[in-house]
Amino acid sequence: MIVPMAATFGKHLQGKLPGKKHFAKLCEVLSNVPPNSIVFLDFKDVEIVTGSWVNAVFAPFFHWAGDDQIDLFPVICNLADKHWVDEFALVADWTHKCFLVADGPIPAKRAKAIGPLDPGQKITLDAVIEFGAVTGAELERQWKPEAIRATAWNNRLRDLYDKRLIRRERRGREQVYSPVLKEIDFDG
Amino acid sequence: MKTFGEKVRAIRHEKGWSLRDLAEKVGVGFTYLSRVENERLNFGDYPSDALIHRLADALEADEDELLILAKRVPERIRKRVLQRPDVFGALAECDDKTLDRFMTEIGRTLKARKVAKKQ
Amino acid sequence: MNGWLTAEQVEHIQWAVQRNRPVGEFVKDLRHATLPALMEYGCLRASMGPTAIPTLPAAIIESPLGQSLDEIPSRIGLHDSQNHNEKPSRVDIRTSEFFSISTQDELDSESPDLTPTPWQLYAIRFSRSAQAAGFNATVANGLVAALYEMAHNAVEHAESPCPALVGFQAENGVALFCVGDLGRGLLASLRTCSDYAHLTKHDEAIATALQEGVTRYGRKRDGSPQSGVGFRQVFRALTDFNGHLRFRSGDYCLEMLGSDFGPNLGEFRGLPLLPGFQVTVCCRTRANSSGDHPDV
Repeated sequence: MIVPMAATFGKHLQGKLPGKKHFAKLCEVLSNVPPNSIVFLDFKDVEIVTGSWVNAVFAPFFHWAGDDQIDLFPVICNLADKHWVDEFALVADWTHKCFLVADGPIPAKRAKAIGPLDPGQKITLDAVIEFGAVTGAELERQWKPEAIRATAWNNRLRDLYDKRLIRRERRGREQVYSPVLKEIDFDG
Repeated sequence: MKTFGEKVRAIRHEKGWSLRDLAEKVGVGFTYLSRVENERLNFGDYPSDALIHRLADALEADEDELLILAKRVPERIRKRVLQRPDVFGALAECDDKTLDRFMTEIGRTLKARKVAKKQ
Repeated sequence: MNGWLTAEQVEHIQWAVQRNRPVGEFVKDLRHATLPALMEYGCLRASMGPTAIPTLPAAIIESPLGQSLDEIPSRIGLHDSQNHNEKPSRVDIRTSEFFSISTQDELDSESPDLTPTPWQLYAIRFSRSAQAAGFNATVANGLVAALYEMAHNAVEHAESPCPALVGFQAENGVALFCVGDLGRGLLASLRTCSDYAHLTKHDEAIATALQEGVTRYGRKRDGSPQSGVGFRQVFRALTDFNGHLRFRSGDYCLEMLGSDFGPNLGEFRGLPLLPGFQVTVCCRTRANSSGDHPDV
């Protein structure tokens, strides 16, 4: 699913109050998207993005997207100004969330994770990207660099799933995790 | 006798211009020009010399007349007064009848000079 | 500079009036004014009264900047009588323009048929004018975003007894804007939040308000900020440019000059008390780092 942000919300995305309205509208636009889908939010043609707007929209939006009934994975695409990326980074810091930010044609194949990830989460994300689709038990068996118990893996996998960086599907009694996009970069 | 604002408005009407037309020509807002014509400016009744000059230009009006209506002394008259204070001092003592006689005489003299120049 | 009314000159006028020194002759001889000076002078006159502070001379009122201000009825402007002016519906480039704003709705509303609102048109004109003055679209839009944040602060936090006044000026490598109100000022506004009840001085309030995440609404239950990123947008707008930032609230003014802008920079200066909050953001292209007349 692709949401053209300029066409849907206007080219000037600024302010807390407009942000609140846009959050509601974004939820409405995405209300029929099946769970476990990736949503590309395309900022092409947008001229202004401010931190107050990002905070008003994306803090509640990611919370909404993470609801079990909704289960959507947003990717923020084509931010024209590097300062806008900084605004997302600031909001990610405040809210302990992580945003996937991509450039270029949609659907994107590669994105950068913007937001805080602790060392354990980074290792886990690396591992999921490397294996493609994996369970906690498989990681315990197959991840050579360190010996980590399945419970610990599952906790970290759950954290990354909550941060909307990896998807999850039930296979029998196990949860299988896969990266939202084939390639995800992050700092550190 | 017309006031400054009335004079500006009268000439503007003669030319068939709206407030906006004249305002654009002299580089001010039309609401400001409206206050100029109604002599309701916040800082006084009349605008600056520079604007009076531009109004005179745009309206093809006598700038000295507009300045005097705005209770200003035109520069060239002011200079002459300072050059010949004796003359203007004496004129100030004359009554209107005497001044009218002078004006008639001055008119004849100026006309004669023009004719002499042409010849 | 001779004959120029700058924001700093307005401060001197206020000092003089408070010390019962005459200012009429000085004001009468003024020939030009900067946009921030016009705004400050308007705030001063609205606050101290027309008897104490003389009207500006015709030379300033009839200048293009003065005429821009004359178009807008505002207690902070040249007059507050209704003009019955329609707000312009075109987006042509202008060297200066003012806008009077009272409610958040005026900033944030959208027309049912999606035609631009008066504020949106004003913002577009500012952006286009800044681009015509020599700034690229990204920078121009950054200034527009910063202007929006400051205007929003004024209507959301100031509790001003009259509408706030917004003005922009853009020509020859300079783009600047001012927002002024006659409200309660930063100190009183922040003190409504228990997090900032300890503040007692206006310079502390200014310094605090500029920090990221600071707002009179305090923080969310999880400790994360509610908002408070408006000034960040202002600092961002001036990145890579020569500029001048001025914040005035209460009896202090904070100024930042040059090319470094941020929450803990700049110099404070004590001033006579003036109600409300006035912010000036001035951005200059490198080519115009020292102009032939003052901007602020």
